[in-house]
Amino acid sequence: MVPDPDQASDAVQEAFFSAYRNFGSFRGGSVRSWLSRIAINAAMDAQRARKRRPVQPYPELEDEAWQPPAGEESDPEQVAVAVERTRALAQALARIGDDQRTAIVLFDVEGYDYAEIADLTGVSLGTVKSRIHRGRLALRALLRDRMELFRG
Amino acid sequence: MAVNEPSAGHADHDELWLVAYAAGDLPDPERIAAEELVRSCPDCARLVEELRLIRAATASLPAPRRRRDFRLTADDAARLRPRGWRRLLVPLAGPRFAFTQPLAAGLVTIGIAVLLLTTVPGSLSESASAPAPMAGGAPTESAADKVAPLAGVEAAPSEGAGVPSEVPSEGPPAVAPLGPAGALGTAPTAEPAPAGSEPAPSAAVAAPVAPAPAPSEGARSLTAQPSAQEAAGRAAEAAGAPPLPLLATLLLVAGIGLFVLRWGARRLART
Repeated sequence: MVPDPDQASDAVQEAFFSAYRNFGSFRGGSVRSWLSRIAINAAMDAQRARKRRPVQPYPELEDEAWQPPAGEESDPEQVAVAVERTRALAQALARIGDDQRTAIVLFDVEGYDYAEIADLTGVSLGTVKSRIHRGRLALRALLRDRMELFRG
Repeated sequence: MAVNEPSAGHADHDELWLVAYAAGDLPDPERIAAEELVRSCPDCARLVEELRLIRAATASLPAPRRRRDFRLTADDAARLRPRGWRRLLVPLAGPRFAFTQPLAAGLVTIGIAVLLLTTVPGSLSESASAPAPMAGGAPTESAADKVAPLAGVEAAPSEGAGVPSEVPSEGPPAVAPLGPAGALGTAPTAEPAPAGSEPAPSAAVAAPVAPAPAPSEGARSLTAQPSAQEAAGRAAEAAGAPPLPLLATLLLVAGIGLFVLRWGARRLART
């Protein structure tokens, strides 16, 4: 959700700090979803902060953070394509809207369903669907010229 | 959706609708229509295929590397789990017991209010505490009943004592409830009256002496009897319904206890 790993760490720290400060406002229910909501809000805040103060992350660190799991394919070409695909996808994800990226990452990467995402982000089910659909369309527009990476 | 006719050009096709189709979010009738469109429009077919490829790629994205695992291990859980009396107290700090604070405040308020109304003397206490006048009324009535027979008993000995002369025997019973002083005061005034008759002086002397102890006893019983009655009334109250001040004190103590428990639990939970 937060493309830069350092800012992501900051967001996690901010989320835990916020959870500690606001523990009194916890009204029961699932601790997991309560904490997730706080973390998602912290991630969105980090995105807004990133827009105000753009930083240039170290590219080599960024690459390291997005290493695909190695071992399944030892063919160097396949590995290279997988790395390139991951990089292209990560770049495209970083360029789409924050709300759309949040919804897509929660759905595709973290495995939440529409209803859970609606609860976590505080919007309606229809809005979640619309964000995911529009995000996918935006990703496809960004990756249109590089689709050969995905066809392997 | 009307533009999604296979005959129209691809530029007129609703791409978002196709995204929903590719994601499997369309209801059956629309899904069938979308399938038809995808079959007839190569651009739409390509869009759906690429959307599915991208979806598969995002789903297989490695989860961002976590720099720290925040999940608790079994050891952590065992270390953090409160032990002993803390285990009993800590659940009180949870949101399930949030109701204890208003409850405690209510108990303390009611306790203080009732205590004030029942212990402060005055009409307020009698009018405010409904059972109090009832409890107070019963003993005084019964005390009055008891006093009347006592006065009768008193009168009887004095009459017996005053048998030789009519006048002194009549005097002391009348003033007996007033106390020994009155009895002693009336006796000397009665003395000159029977002075003419010989046996009278001795009887008159005996009369003031004899009734004197009786009224004093009567007076003592008059003052002692109501308090004994009150004690009896309180005992009866204690046996039946507990008296209000005691109840109020209990409420007060319970409220303060709840406050302290909740406060202590929250402090414990914070460390």
